[in-house]
Amino acid sequence: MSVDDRLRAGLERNASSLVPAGEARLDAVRRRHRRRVLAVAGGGLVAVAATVALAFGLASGGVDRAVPPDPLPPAETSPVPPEAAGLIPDSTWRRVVTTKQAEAAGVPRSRIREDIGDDGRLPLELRLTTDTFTQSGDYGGSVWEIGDSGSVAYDERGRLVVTSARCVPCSALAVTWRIDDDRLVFTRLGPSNGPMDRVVWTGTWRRTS
Amino acid sequence: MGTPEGREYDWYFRACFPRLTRTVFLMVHDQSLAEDIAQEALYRMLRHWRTVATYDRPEAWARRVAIRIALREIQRRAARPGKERLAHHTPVEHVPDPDVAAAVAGLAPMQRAAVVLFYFDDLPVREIAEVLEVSESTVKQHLHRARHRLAQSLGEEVGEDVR
Repeated sequence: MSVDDRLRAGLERNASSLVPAGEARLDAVRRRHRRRVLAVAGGGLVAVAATVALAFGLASGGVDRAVPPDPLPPAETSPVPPEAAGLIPDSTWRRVVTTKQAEAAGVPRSRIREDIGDDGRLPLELRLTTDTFTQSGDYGGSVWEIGDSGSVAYDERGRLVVTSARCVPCSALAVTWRIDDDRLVFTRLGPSNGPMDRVVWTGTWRRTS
Repeated sequence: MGTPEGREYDWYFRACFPRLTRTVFLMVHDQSLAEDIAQEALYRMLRHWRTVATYDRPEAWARRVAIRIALREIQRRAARPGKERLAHHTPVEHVPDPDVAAAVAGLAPMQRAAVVLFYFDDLPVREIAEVLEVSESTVKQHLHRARHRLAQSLGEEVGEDVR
């Protein structure tokens, strides 16, 4: 018998001996998907609740009882962003986020598995124009899937302020930045942003276009 | 899932899962791990369902993801220290053709994947190259070397190479 015939027959027989537990696995996928959807929705509700509480405190208690505004970190004084106008030009940037970075930032393990996956690395792409951003991830299969998108602005400190159009209740994210040649470096996020935001945004992005 | 989109996904899951699990099983020789990997690939398909559902063959996307996860898992296990590797060693005697299973298990990870995709899934070399993200000539090399090694370990004849 040729090795080809032996392989075809042997692999077919070995594969046929397996009876996969399809329905149980489909249930597991549904449960995992529901948990993820609930987690995303829950995060949005927390943001809404925090906003309502802040507004209520301001309205009923005056300045003394109001929650102080986020102590945003001071803008970096040096190095000065090289872009003369203080804006990031229309461009595309990429970086890879790893499980180790997420663990070091204190992201819960369940969230790491959901967002980064089992292979431990999540390639990200960030497209910026003067007034919009799109963030995509390669979650497997070499398919770039849009994770977030929305508007871009710059505050009085020159920080990039991105506001998600996909997550309406989410708060805007302000990040200090600089450009070194073909690298875009995000150094600081406001303290109200979670650890996963820090992992995804802060660090060095390499320019692709 | 009650929505038409959800029902369509469920249909795909039921259609893809058994075959996908069997393909991965022939590479990793561990039913539980094979089901975990197939489930992970199909879960990722659900997360990207709106995009993947527009493809001509969504199952090909899921297979590509599953094979890559399986390859990484094989490579990760091979990199473990000796004792730990032995603890995770999966016996192949329980399958109907243990000789073929053992011979395939002795191949390098990429050769193993190429053999399973070619001989079990009947994929053409071009599609195997896409799945493994290598050139067609690299796939042919993997198959050529694997066939010679398998012929030796199984005591069978080597026929003409694949084209």
